[in-house]
Amino acid sequence: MAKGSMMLQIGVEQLLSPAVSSAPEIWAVAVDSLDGDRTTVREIATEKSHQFYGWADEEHEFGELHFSQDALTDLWLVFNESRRPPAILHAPSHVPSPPVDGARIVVLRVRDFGYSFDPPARFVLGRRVGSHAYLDEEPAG
Amino acid sequence: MEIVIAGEGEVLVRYINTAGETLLQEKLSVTGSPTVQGRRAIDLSIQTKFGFVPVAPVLVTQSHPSQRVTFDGALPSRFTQQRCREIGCSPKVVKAAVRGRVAPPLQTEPAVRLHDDREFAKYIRAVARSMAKRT
Repeated sequence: MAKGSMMLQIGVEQLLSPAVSSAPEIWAVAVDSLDGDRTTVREIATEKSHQFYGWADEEHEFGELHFSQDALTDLWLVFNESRRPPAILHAPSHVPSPPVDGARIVVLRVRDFGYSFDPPARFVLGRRVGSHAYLDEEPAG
Repeated sequence: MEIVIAGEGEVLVRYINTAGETLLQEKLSVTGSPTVQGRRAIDLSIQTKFGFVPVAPVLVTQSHPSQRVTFDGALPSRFTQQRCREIGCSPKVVKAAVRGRVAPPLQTEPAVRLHDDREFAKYIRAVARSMAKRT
C-alpha cells in the first residue's frame, strides 16, 4: 500500500567552545521506509544560518574566509534490487520530480563543511543547517 | 560514532573533554512519520590549541521520552560511561555525564549566543495553559 503524502525534515545546530580550533563536518540524514510504489518528490529545500568570528595573535592573521550561504542537501530513493542504483535528487527543487517506481527507502541528507585552523588561531562558531522534503507515494500503474 | 534517533523530536548532545568541559554542543532534530529515523555521524576527537583531544558524547535532553536514542547502537548513558572512562574522566565527571548534567560550552567574548530552549519550552506550556482555560 502506497504511503501517500510524506514529509522528512532533519536539522543540526552546532555551537563550539572558543577553546576549539576545528569545526566538525555536518553530516546527518533522515531515513524512512516506502512501500515500493510510485514516488514523486514535490520539494527539497535547505536552510543555513552561520555565525563565525576568528582571531589570532599580533604575528598571525586570518586569511580571507568565505563561508557558503547554503548547505548541501540531497535525497536518495533506494531500491531493494542490489544492482539498481539509487535515484539521487538535489536541492533546491522548483518542480516535482519525474515519478520513480519501486523505491523502498528514502534518505534525506544534509551536509556542510568542517574546517580547522592551526594555533594560535581561534574562533567562535554557531551554525544551524536544516533540510526538508515533501514527497508523495501513490499506487504504481 | 553514530547517533540514531528513532521517532520524531530533538536531542541535545554535548561533547566533553576529560575535565568535563563541553567543547561542542549539537542539537539534532528530525520530523516525519512515526517511523522516521535521524542519524548523525561524528568523530569523537576535536582539535584544540593542544592538538586533537578525545571527547565523550553526553545526551543532555530529548524532546520526549518515547523517542529512542542510541550512540553506536548502545544506550546513551552506557556509551557515555564507557567512553568517559576510556578517555580518562574522573569518577565525578563520569557520574555527572551519565546523568546528562554537563554545562554548555564556555562563553567568552566574543561569543555566539543562542536562545535558551528550556525557557522557550516553559513559554509554550504557559501559552497552552492559557489557551486551555479560554476553551
